Amino acid sequence: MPPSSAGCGRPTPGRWGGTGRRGCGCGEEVRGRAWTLTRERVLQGPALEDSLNTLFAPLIISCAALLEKLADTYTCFATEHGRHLHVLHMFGDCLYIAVNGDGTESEDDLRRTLFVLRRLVEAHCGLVTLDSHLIRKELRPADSEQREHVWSLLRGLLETYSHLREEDQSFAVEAVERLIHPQLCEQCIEFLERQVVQHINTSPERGGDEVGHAFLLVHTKLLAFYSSRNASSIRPADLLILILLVQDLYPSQSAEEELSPQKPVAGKVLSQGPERSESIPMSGPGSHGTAEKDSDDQDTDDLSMPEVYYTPEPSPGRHSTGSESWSEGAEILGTGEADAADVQMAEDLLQTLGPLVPEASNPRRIFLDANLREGYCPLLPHTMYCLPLWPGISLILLTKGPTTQVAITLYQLLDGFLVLERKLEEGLEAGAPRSYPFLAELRQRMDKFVKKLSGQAIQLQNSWVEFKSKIFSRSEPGSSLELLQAVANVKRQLCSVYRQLFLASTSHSLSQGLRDRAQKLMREKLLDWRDFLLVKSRRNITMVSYLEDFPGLVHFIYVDRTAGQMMAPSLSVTEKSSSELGKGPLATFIKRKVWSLITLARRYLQKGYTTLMLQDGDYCCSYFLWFENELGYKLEVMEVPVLSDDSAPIGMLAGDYYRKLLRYYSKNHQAEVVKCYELLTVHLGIIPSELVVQQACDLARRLWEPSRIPLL
Amino acid sequence: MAWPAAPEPGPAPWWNYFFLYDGSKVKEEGDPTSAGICYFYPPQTLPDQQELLCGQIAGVVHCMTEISGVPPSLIRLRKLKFAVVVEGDYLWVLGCAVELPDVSCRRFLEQLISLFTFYNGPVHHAYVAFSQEELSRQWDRYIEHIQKNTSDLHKIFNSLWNLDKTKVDPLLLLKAALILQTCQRSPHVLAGCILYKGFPRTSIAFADSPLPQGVRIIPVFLTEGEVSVLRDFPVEWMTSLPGDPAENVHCPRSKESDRPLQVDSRGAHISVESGEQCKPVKMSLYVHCLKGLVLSLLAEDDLREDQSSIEDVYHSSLASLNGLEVHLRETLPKDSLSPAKTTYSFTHYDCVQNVLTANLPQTPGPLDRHFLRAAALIHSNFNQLPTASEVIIRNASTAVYACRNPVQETYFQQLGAPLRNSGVPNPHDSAFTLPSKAKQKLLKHGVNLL
Repeated sequence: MPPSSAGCGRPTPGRWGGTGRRGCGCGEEVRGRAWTLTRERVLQGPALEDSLNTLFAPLIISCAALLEKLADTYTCFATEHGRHLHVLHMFGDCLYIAVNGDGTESEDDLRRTLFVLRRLVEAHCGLVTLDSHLIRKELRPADSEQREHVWSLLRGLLETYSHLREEDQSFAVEAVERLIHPQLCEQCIEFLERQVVQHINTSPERGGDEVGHAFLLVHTKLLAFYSSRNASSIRPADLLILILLVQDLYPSQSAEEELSPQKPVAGKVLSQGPERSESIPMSGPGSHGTAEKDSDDQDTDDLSMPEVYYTPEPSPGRHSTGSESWSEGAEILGTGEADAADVQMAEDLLQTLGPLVPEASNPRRIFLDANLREGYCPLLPHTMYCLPLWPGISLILLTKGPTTQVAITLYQLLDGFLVLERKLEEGLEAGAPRSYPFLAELRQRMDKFVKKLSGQAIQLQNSWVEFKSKIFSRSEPGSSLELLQAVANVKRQLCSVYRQLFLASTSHSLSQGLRDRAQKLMREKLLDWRDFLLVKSRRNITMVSYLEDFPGLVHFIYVDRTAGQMMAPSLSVTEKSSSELGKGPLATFIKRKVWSLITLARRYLQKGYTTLMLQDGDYCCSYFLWFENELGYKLEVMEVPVLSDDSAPIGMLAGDYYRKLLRYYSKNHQAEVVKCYELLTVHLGIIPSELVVQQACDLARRLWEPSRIPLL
Repeated sequence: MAWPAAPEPGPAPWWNYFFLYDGSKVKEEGDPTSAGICYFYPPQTLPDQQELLCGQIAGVVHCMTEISGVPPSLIRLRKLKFAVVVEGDYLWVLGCAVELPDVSCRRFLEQLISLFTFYNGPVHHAYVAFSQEELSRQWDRYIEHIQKNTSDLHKIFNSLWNLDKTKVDPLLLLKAALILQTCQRSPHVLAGCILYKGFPRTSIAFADSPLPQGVRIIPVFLTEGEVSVLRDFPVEWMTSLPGDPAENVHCPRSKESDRPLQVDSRGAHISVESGEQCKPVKMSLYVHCLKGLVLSLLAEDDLREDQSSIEDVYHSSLASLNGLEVHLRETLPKDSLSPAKTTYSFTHYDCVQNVLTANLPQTPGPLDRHFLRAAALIHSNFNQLPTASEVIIRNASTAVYACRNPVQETYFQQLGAPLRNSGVPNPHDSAFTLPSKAKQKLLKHGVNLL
C-alpha cells in the first residue's frame, strides 16, 4: 500500500442473497465503487482503480450494512502501535477513506485530510455537493481521461495541502498570516482600489464580471486585501483555501531561486520541473522582521533585514518555461454532458498542447461563502484570477458574475427543501405537511423561480409539478415516503440547474487585456519592493526582537480566531533557507516541538480544556484560549463542548470549529462582539512555570496591538 | 446550535459486547455465520444481531488484513469501539463504550483471553476437550468477574488494587511473606500469593477427594516463556493484600510488556512475546480458601500427583494462615467508608508494581468525573509523549495537575469552586499553584514528588 492516500466512494448495501453470510462479501456483487487520490504513482489509472475497488469493496459494503442495521458505522481502524491507520468519514452519501501505512500520519492528520478534501470538493463544485448522485458524476466522470483530470487536480491540491500543513505555520494552525508592513499594506490597498478594482469594474471589457476582492500574496502570506464596497466579506477559512489554490498553481520555491535576477513570470508560462511535488523545495512559512508597535522603528529594521540574513545568489535561467505538470491543474469545470462537443475540443487541445495549459485552471470557478444584501449563500460562484507577478508574489482577483442572484435564490430554495425534508423525516410537525407554515413561502418562491426559467429547465418544472400534486392535494395526499422522494427529486433538479449554470457553462470573464494591465501595473508598483517582500515573507517576525523582554522564550504562535489570523516568528527549515535557529537538527527539533504542541493543544481543546501547560523534556510548552470583547476586556471562561474523537477536526479549514465556538460563546454575550484568541508558547524548561505564565500574559498584551491592523 | 457533543461518561454500560468467532466453521458459501459463533456476550442478544456483528467484524478484519498485511487491533465506530485479537481462525472481539480509552479496551480483551487460557488452555484445545456450554459458563464467569472488579480508575490504569498502604500493619505483610516462603520450600511450588477479602469461588464438592479441607488443585496453563521465567529466576517475595478476588488474579499470557504477571510472587515483570514462547505448559494451581483468605500457589504439574507434597504445603501453612486471617479480620478497617473530607483528589499509579493509591469516593461526583476524564486523557498522552513529565490542564470547572517519571504517575485536583477566570494567561490563576500543593499534600499519603 502507498504510505498515505485518501479517496472516496459510495457505499451501497450489498445484497447478501440467501446464504445468510454477512461476512466479507466475497463473491457478492459489489456495487459500491471506490476511487482514490493516492500519493503512490507507480500503479495508475484503471489498474490502480480496479485493485483498490477489489481491496476496499468488503469494507465499503460493511460500512453500508452497519449503517443500515445499527445506524452506526466505522470511523477508524488501527493496527497495533498505530502503524496502519484507516480513517473513514461519511459526507452525505459519499464515504471518504484515508489510509496511512507507515505510521507517519496520525488519526487526526488523516481525518483532517478527509475534511479538507471535502472542503476542496465544495469549493470546486459548489452546491452540487448537496446531491450525491450529481456530485458523484462530477468526481467520477465516466470518461477515464476526464476522471484523471479531476483526480489529478484534487490529488495535486491534497499534496500541496499536506506539504503546507507540514511546513507552514499558518497552515499548521489554520489561520491566515499577514506580512507585517502596515505602510506598504496601506499603499497597496489604495493601489488595488484605484488602479485595479475600480478600473476593471468601470471597464466595458469586464464581460459582466465584477471584481469584489483583490489581494496580494507573498508566498502564503497576505500583504494586502481590498474588498469593493458592495462585496460580501470573505471568510478567513475561504481565504486560506484560496491561498492553498494559489500555492498549488504557483508553488513557492527556494529563496535563492526567487531572488535571482530574472524576468517576471508571464501569465501562463510557468516555471516548473517535470514532477511538481519534487520541484518544491518549499516553502514560505519563513518570515522576518519585527512586530514592533512603532512603525518607524519597524521600517528601518525591516529594510536592514535582507543584508543581515540574505545574500542573493545569481542563478538565472533556472526558470524554464512549460512542463507537463500543469496539465494536472486541468479544469474541473465544463465537463458536463451538455457540452460534450466542447469537452471533446478541450481534450483535443489538451492532447496537442500537452502540459502548456495553466489557463485550464486559472482563471478558475470557485465557490465561496457570501453574505450579500440580496441574501446569503454558503457556496456562491466566484471566478478566481491568479496573476503571478514574480515567483512567490501574486495578485489575485475574485469576481462574481451577473448571475449571483440566481445562485442565492437556488440556495434559498434548496435550503427550504432541506428543512422540509428534515421535518418529513422527523415527522414531528403537527398536521398535514401541506399546512407547514413555511411551505407557502417556499411554494411562492419556487413558482416564481420556475416561471423565470421559463422552460429552460423542463425537468425541474416537472418535478415541481409532481411535488405540488403530492403535497397540496386535498383528496389524496402522498405518503411521507412518496413526499420525501418528491422532495429529493426537486432538490436534485435544483442542483442540476445550479450545475448547468455554474459548472457546465463558461462564464463571462475579464478580457485578457484587463488582466494583463492589472498584472503590469501591479508589477510596476511593487518592482522596487520585490526583493524586500520575498525576504520579508521568510522573516516576517524574528524571535530576536522578543528575546530581551522574554528571556527563555523559544517560540510562540498568537492567533486571533475571530479574524482568522495568526502571528509567529519564522520557523522555516528548508534546504536552502534557514531560520534564526539555523537549519541544523536544533531548528528541526524546535519545529517538531511546535507542531506537536499544536496537535496536543487541539486534542485537549477537543475535550473541553482551554489551558494547557506541559513540561516536555528540556522545554516548557503552554497553550491558552480565551475570549475578549471588542475593547479588550477579558470575558469569563466558559465550558467548551466536549467533542467525540471522530468529530470534525479542530481548525478553520474544515468544519470551521472556531466559528462554531464563537457562535456558541456569543449566545451568552448577545450584547457585545466576542473575540477569541489563542497563544502557544515554547520556553526553555529551566524557566519556572510562574515566569512562563507571566511572560505569556505580557506577550498576549504586546501582541494584541499589531493584530488589530485592519485588513482593509 | 447542534454541536455533536460526546455523551457524558456515566453509568451507561461500558462493556457492550464480547464474542469469540471461529472462522474455520464458515468457509463454504453455504455455511451460516451462526456456525462460527463460539460465544457471544450478552447472551440475550438477538441471533440476528449476533450474526450481524460477528459477520461484519470478521469480514472487515479479513479485508483490513488483506490491505495492511496485519489485522486491525482496534476498530472504532461512532458510538462503539472494538478491540480485536486474531489467532489463526479464531477472532476475539470486545465491544466497549467509546469513552473507554483505546488502550484499556485492548487491555480488557487481553485480560479476558488470558483468564480463559490460564484455566482452559489454548482455545482450540479447549473447544475440543470441553463442550461449548461448559466453556460458555467459563466465559460468563470471567466476564462477570472483570466487570464487577473494574472501578472507574481501573478503566484508566492497569492496576491490581487501590489501597492506602499507610493503613496496613507492616507486620501483616511480613507474616504473609513468611507463609509464602515456607510454601516455596516444597519442591514443586514456583510462585504464590495471598489474597484477602476476595470472593472465593464456591468450591465444587470433592466428595472423595484426598485433598485436605478447603484445598483444590486446578490444572492451569502458562506459556513456555512464562514458565521459564518462573523456573530460572530466584524468587523475590512480594505479598498482595487485600484486594482482588481470589480466584482470578492470573493473567499469565500477558502480551503488554508493561504488565507483570499477577500471580507471580516476585515483584518483577514477566513479559512474554507472543510467538514460540506461547506454547502452553500445563501447571498446577494450589488454592487454599480459608474464610476470606486465599492462598494460591503456582506449581509444577507434578504437584497434583504428589500427595505428600500437598500435605506438606497444607500443614506447614495452615496454622499461620489461620492466624493471619484472624489478625486481618480484627485490624483491617471494615470498609474504608468515606475517608475524612479532603480538599483535594489524587491518584498515584505505580506502573512497575501496578499499584494504585487514590482517595476517590466510591460514587464519583461531578468534580470527580472531571478528574477521571482528565486523568484518562493525560495518561494516554503520557503513553504517547515519552519526554512529557508534567501537565496542567484546566477548563471552566476544574484544573488537574499530573506528573510522571519512569516508574510512577501522579494526578492531583484541588476541590472546591474554581476561581472565576478568563482563560487568558494569568500568573494569579490558581491552576499554576497545583504542583506545589500536590507536593505538599501528598507527602502524608506516602507520595513524594519532591
